[in-house]
Amino acid sequence: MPASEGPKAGQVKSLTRRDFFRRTAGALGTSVALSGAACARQEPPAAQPRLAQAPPRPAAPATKVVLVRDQAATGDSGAASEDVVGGMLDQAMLALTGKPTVAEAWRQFVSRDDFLGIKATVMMTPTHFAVVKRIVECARQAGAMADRIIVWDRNVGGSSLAQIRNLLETPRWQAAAQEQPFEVAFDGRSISSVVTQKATVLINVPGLKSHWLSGLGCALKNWAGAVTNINVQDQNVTFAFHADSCARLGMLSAIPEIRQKQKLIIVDALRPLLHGGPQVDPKYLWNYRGLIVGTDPVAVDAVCLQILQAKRNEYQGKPWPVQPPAKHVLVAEAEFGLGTADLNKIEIVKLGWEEGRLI
Amino acid sequence: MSEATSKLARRGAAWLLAATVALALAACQAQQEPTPPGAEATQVPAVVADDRTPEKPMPEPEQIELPGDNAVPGWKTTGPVATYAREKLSDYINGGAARYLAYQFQVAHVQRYVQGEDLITVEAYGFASSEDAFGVYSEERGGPAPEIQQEANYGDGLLQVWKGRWYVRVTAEAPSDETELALLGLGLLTSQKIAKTGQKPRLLKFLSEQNLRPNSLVYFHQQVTLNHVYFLTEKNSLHLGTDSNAVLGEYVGPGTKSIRILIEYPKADQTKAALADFVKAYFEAEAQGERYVGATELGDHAGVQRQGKYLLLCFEAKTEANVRAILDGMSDHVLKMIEGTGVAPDAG
Repeated sequence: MPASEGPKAGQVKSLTRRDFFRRTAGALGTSVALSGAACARQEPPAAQPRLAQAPPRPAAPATKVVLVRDQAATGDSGAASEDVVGGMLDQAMLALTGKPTVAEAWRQFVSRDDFLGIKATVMMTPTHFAVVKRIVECARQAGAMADRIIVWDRNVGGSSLAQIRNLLETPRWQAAAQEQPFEVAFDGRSISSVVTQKATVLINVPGLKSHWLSGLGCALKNWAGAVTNINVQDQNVTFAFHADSCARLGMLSAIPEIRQKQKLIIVDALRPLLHGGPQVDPKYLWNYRGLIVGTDPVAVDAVCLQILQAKRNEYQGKPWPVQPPAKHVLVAEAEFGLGTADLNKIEIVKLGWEEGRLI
Repeated sequence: MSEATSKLARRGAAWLLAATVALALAACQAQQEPTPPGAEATQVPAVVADDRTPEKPMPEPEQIELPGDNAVPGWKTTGPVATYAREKLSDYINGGAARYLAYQFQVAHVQRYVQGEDLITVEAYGFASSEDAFGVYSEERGGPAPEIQQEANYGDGLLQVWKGRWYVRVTAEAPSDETELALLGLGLLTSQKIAKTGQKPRLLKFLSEQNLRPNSLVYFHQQVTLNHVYFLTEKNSLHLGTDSNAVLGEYVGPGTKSIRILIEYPKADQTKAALADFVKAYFEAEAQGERYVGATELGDHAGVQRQGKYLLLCFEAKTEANVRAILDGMSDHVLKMIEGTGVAPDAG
């Protein structure tokens, strides 16, 4: 068989089903599917808006990603224990920062002067309230003012815990009228005003799920809920990222305000979705009962992709590639310089429940 | 699949049938409360064409009214029915809308029902044709089939129904026995609200039924669907689009285990171009003639062949000889279908 021409300089090779097996045959579980050699650093094509150039990255220690799990985090139905989940997040933050107390750990990311924007997910597989509740509590303990914290997705947000619960658990939880979420505006660049005008610190709190268009829906994908004027056809839009399996999804994290203000990523992996998505087929939900925490969105997504791929293989009892391949994780590193996708360069701190950890 | 065996599958189809009938009777006997004004099916907004809408104008969307409060006793709606036209579907399922926009989707109605802490969601997706509604329904069918018209399947909290121009999903995230019964009842009642049945795509018959795994046929048009069902290439090297019709099936017989895809293009020239591009992208080779067969990384074999305006593809076959035999069989079957259906063969 003739050898592949391979990617030209500055390009990420177009992927095929065969690439998945080339890279994973005999090595499943040790590398991010479809990662590595096909990737090369490149400048954004001239036709694309130049949102933010990747700053040169000095040699840095390995990116740290903390995975914490607890068998008691959720019941079989997926309902989360606030106490257990809160404890998990505390453990993760201590491990991530190396600080002796939870308050000190949080003060590394948020202070009294900050306005905190917490980007959750409200659609289809909403972020568990228990996760967001603990984030808000810890931010307050670290000094953040209650009226300078907003949890939001798309055009709705909440500040009080009652509003936030309503935001994340509607329609299951019927809130009083004064507890209704409020509207969040977008600015003239089609970006949420929370990102561009209000927040000084952004915390990204996605759920872990497979995604119909991008393969993986996690940290990089979550910012799609912070912009408007987008559609899957990329017709007359501000951010055209849907082509090639959402390969250039990293353009959202490369929006200067997001690149600058996103300080922390906390992935709700309590009950991820391993196939389909965002629309839920309940048989593909599984109680992983984990949180994945880091400061590098690409590294966090690389770890999440590895877990998702391992779960799919386990589910089918044979290699079951993430479909379509989550190329955007590679491109986020190669083109946008948003972090590292190479698992060999990521320090994964694993805490808690080991059974079914998958990584 | 190690985890795919549902509670209902273990109970068996007989239980499912009994449950469906019981629910139907209960629903009919239930004291129907007047439907609150807001809970009526809302007026369907005009559908605005987008780039995936074929030039052929769509027929008017059909109307449907979802079950109201206590249609299944004890289950109340959480508010008015939410309605999403084609260009607004992303407001409901974000990027998941692509699944429906890859077909001639027209309108969706969504209603949620609660009983205590339990939640059931009914989503009804309307299409311009019964073939396209079947296409979405066909993407993944598993589990036992309850007696719900026109065709249905259930597994672990998801009931899928195809009837006429509608595809209906009824979901409960963590279903108890009682929730499963209510879920089936809501699916049944929704199906009963759909007046007309419809035809399956004629192209389904272009793949042989011999050794075909039950419920494995998927009907589609576009790359985004194929990417999800059976990812082949990131780029659209098969030149799939709104004007192509395709069917994928999984075969399990001895010597015939394979994934087979048949694509129908409007013109044979398009089929030729797709053949050349696919061979280049997938096999990293130049297509010579009308057929290409090669090995893959897992030690299995794949092949592609042009047959007039049809493209025949075979994957995961054990040997090269298997691939050739399968392509021969597919080709013969297509010819028979062309003769049988009176479709003019296009030799290109």
